[in-house]
Amino acid sequence: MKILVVSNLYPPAGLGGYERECAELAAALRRRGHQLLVLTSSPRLPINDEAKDGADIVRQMRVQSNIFGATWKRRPDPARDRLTEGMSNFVDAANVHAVSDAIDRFVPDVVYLWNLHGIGALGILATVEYRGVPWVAVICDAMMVYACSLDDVTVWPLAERVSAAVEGIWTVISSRVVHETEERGVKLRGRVELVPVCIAEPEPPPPAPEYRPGEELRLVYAGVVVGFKGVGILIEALRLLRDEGIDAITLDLSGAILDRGLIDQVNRAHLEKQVYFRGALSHEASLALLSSCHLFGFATHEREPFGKAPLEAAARGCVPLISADCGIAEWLVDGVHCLKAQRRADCFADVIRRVYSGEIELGPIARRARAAALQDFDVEVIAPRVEQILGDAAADRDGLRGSTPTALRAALVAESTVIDLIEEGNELRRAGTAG
Amino acid sequence: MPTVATITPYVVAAPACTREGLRLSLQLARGAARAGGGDWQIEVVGYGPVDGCMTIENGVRLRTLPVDTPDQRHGRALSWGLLDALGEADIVHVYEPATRSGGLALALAVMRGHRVCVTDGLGEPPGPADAVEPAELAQLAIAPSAQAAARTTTRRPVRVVSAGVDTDFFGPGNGNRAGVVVAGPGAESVAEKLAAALPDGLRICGEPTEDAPGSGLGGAQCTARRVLFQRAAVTVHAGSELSTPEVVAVSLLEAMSCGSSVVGIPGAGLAPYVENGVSGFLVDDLPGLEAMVRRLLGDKPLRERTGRAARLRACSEWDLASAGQALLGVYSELLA
Repeated sequence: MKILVVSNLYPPAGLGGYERECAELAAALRRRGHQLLVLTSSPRLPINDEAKDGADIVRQMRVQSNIFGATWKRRPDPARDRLTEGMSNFVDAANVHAVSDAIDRFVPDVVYLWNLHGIGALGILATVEYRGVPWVAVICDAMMVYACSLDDVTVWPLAERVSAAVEGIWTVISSRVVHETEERGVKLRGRVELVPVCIAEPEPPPPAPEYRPGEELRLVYAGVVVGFKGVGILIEALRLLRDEGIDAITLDLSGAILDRGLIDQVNRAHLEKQVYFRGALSHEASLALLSSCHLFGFATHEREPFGKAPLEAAARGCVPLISADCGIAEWLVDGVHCLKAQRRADCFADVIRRVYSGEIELGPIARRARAAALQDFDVEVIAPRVEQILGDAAADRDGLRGSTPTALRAALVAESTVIDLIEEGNELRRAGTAG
Repeated sequence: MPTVATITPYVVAAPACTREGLRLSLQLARGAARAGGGDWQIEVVGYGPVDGCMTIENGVRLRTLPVDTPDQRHGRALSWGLLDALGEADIVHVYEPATRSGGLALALAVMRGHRVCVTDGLGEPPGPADAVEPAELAQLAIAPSAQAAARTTTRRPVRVVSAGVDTDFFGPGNGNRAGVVVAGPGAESVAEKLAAALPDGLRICGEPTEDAPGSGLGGAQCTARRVLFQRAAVTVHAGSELSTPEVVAVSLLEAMSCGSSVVGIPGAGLAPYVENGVSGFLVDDLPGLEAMVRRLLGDKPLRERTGRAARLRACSEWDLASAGQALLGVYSELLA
């Protein structure tokens, strides 16, 4: 098959699991003999010696919004930011042109849509439909909700119309993300397939050391270091245990620090000798860190769609300790492949204490977690399923329709209308009469 | 049964449609539906305070979409109901594609794969996408006159479908004629200037200006307009900076069809419709208008002769059946 992959970000540019997942599945599909073209945004920083991994990568689109905030240095301006958000959520004519042009040049059998947040999701979906190419969209987050939102609020009439107008094949990584999408106004019409996040481990990685009660217990977290991921809960859990006299527990935090208040939290609790901020490690270094730890702390928020890092930890026998109601909790069984806790510091502290004391025997869980991750979530296991779904979509292909000049002109009309409407709203806000 | 969604940018004020462009679209829709002999369904869509739909006649509906934007002016209004209005129409005919309302309707229709034609240049101010030339999205452009076709800037094929008038409905009537009716866009400003010279019997038929909402007889429905034109000794046709001859012609043709003696004011561009001195009069300026109106009011034979000629010309050249047949031909071309 000829597969056009569209993703807002693509490694090495990127922030997290969504784009790594995209790259790993793209590589696996290429290994299975398919021809891929990846269309993504221009990187924020130059990429030297890009390893294309056999797939052509076109970094031609633009991400205008501040959704990837850390590098967004402009002074806040609500009116201007609303304009930017409108374009990045609804329609960005330049990106419509890039997608339609890629369709012309590559003539794909199917378009594989990944995270469209920030690149004008509705415009891109409309363009793929207009060009008559079947598509499969990967829902790893509430992407379709963002596509129908302004000021972080769902524009309900828009969501209703998008729900009615868009029908296709959606692969979702957890039922949680479907529920969230629907609760916030967007119904995923058509075929919905549950496909978990995968991991790419060409060789089984070295297992983490088995924990023996009474030894130093090593916790790790990898990902953006920010409150909603539950880092503060882990720090507080360690403080509670330390106050009980259990201080042979460490926490390594690997990832960009987006919430510097967490450093204050550590200092305030005098946990400097137990909590280590490792910064944004390379992926390889981060994986090596997982291999040296016993527990992966993932006290993430309820709406976390999945979480790739806990799975990578599991593959190393580093047992995921996860919030009981987050996305990955749908896939792993408490006490069998992972440990679960209510998303509160005292609950996480309780599980850690029981591991530390030996009440919970970590070794068997670590072995089962490792086996499950490597057997059930390996990219080479998931890729054939994805291939089947893409093939089903491509079977409906009926030749290209429309043209890029028309798609661009329609997108420019839509984009200028969106800008005009938002400016109209901004004027009312300035006049103090906005509803 | 082929279906057409005619998307206009006009705001339909209760109780009737006041914008001449909307009346043009409705008249042509009626002509096409009649020419189609019941095989076509045409829905003319405008904006209004509430969601509504009314049957105009067999095969023709007028649908109003509730305005969901703060700006509720003609050409600027938008509604969440627009996608529903496009529905599964075989053809989408967009009026005034350069406006905000028309541009978005056109873009949505094209991206959804509808067959699309446009009628442009009826005088509404352009919207935010004007520079993008939205009309180029259409497969065909429909110009309401040869002059309009010559003015159009689109590179799309242009077909001419002239305005038509229902000459059966707008007949001469049997009553006595008296007084002056001022019709067309901008009628009130012309009427104001005439008022001093013609204190008695001055009536206005046209859309109220923004400065004087609700004044005059703006928004009069078809039957009321017919009565006005049947009773008018003289009908003056106004124009404004927004009007084009093709739009003014809607009222003009109705008056001519009713056998009223007509006078076109400066700038209204009515020469294609009125043969000066035969089927009406064209004047150069306001003093000339006053003089011509006075002359007609004092010369019944002249009024009757030019009124009869006007009626004949309307019936022979702008009959609704011919206009409808021409429009149906363009629609059929789109479907082919």
